[in-house]
Amino acid sequence: MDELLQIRNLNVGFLVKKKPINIINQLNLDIYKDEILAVIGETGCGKSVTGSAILHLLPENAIVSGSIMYKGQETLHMKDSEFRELRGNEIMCVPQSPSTSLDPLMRVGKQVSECTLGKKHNRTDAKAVVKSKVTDIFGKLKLPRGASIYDDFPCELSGGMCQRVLISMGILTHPDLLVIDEPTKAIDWALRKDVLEILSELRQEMNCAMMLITHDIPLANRLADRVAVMYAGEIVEIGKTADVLEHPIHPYTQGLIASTPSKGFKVMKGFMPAFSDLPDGCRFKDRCPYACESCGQGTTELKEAENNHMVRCNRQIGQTEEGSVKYVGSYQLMQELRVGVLAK
Amino acid sequence: MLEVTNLCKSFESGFWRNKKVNAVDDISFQICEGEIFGLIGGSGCGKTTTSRMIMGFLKPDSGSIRYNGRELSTMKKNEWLKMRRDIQIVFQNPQMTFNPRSTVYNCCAEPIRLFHLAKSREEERSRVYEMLDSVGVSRDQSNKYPHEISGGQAQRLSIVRALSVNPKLLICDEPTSMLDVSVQAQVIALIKEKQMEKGISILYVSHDLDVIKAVCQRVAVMNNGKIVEMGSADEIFNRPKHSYTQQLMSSAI
Ligand SMILES: Nc1ncnc2c1ncn2[C@@H]1O[C@H](COP(=O)(O)OP(=O)(O)OP(=O)(O)O)[C@@H](O)[C@H]1O
Ligand SMILES: Nc1ncnc2c1ncn2[C@@H]1O[C@H](COP(=O)(O)OP(=O)(O)OP(=O)(O)O)[C@@H](O)[C@H]1O
Ligand SMILES: [Mg+2]
Ligand SMILES: [Mg+2]
Repeated sequence: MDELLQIRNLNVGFLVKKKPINIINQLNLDIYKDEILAVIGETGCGKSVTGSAILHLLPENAIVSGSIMYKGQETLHMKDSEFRELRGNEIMCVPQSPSTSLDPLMRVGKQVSECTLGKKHNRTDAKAVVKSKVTDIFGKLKLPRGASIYDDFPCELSGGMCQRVLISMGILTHPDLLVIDEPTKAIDWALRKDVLEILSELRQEMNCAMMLITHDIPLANRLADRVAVMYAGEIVEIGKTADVLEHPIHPYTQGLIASTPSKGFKVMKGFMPAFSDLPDGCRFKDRCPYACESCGQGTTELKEAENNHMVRCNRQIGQTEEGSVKYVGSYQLMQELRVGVLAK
Repeated sequence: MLEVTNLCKSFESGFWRNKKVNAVDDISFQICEGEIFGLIGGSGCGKTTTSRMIMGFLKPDSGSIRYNGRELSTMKKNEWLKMRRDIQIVFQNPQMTFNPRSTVYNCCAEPIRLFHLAKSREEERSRVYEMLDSVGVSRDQSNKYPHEISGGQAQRLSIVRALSVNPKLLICDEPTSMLDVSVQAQVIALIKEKQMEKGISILYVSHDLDVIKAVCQRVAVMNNGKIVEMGSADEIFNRPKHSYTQQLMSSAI
């Protein structure tokens, strides 16, 4: 398969109070042509930061190193003006938070059409074409009130409506690569199904590759070809969707899947460590039910466990079957946590 | 405890104020003491508008909202301030709850200062740190600004912050919509634990039917500003009567 995007040894850090804090650590990731790669993982583990690095949208205090190749072209160190040619035409994004990503003083229809009305079109007649295209997409996403929503301001729309406006922005130009951050969290289940259909249609008809950053595991299951699981700035498991979601090997992935409401709603103990205070060795070891001494030293590499299924864990693969992760009931656990906190 | 009757709210928008949207259209429901009441419904059906009216951020067009017998919809600003200790809200978007210009520490200390809950600086600090610890946000992150912490961390903070004044009624507008499932399970365990411990009542708005099913005792289903069905969680999920509810239940993926 052809790689569309190749990320090698990506490191991203932020300067906080003049101190650099490393967030993304030696990340390697490929996105192939026409493929949907889902990225799941704990809140704050660096999924959006990875997406922003691809899109050149990192804030000023970011420190980046490594390489990102798009169609064989190095983009990480490109000038912003050069990269802007790509972003908006070939690479598009759907940002995470609907309420902060829209310009509050601009009518939503104008915001959406603006991303296509680049230099290519001559403005006057293109406008009408774009407007009909935009209303078409709005209709597909079941935004109510038809064309009149074109002239609404973002504050007049509900959370889910803003989210759909952002999605339509991302897919309007038929990009080759779409980085889409949390498309389904603020919308109801009926719409989620529509978004699912629109995205799979987009892939089939336009051959659009996607990096789908999401917390929605059922959505990833339905849509993605491969799934990458991130924890504390590292990829801990990556492989085919069915392999990762149905036979997870890394203890974090196992715990994550057991936390979904339909799979038991079990509470994992502990919290992700702060980036400024990472433990030595494996970053998950403090929460890991299998942790042993060797987990505390050195770096754990991403190793192939099965065919194309990579896992970052010291445990021998044969060991995985023996006993599943032990959970405590949620109330008891929260109680234990609080007692632990108070005792400190 | 909370009694909402015949509540209506419509918005006028457009350049000539000529478009009218009936966001909330004649809804009534009650929330009893110590109960978790779920509100579900399609996107844009008026759930957020309802919770904003209960919080007094929006004036209803008509209808009444009574909290322990007191009418909230006509209450004055200074009376509301006292009420804020009893009724707290957790928003869909955590960045909205925090003042973007002050640090995480100051944001968390705000309710403590407002209601004079701490006697000294040290007590205030230990309370804030306790808050941070209980949701796993490390102490050195307290100097960051709200936009520098991730959405999930901010949401966990906004929940403990709302709970820090010991409210009697908590309104949660999609509190876990920014969180991953493992943190969502932790947050919901936290909310439920507080609810059992202190007997607070909760209005829980969410799209995630699995969560609602696991958390709520009673559920109301809204569509286009109206409540189309209301009943115990068991009834709504296992024997939905209204066609809209059935449609919603069947769209699981
Ligand atoms: N501008 C910034 N300055 C300093 N730290 C930042 C900045 N932006 C993000 N971070 C830190 O980077 C980490 C990763 O953030 P990111 O937004 O990528 O998380 P995420 O995986 O997308 O989480 P979520 O699922 O909540 O969206 C967080 O711990 C956050 O505190
Ligand atoms: N300030 C406003 N001006 C005009 N219309 C508004 C305003 N606020 C909300 N509306 C409209 O009221 C309706 C209900 O919005 P509301 O935010 O209550 O929906 P919601 O049920 O919370 O949806 P979601 O689940 O997507 O958050 C929507 O049609 C919206 O466009
Ligand atoms: Mg994110
Ligand atoms: Mg809402």
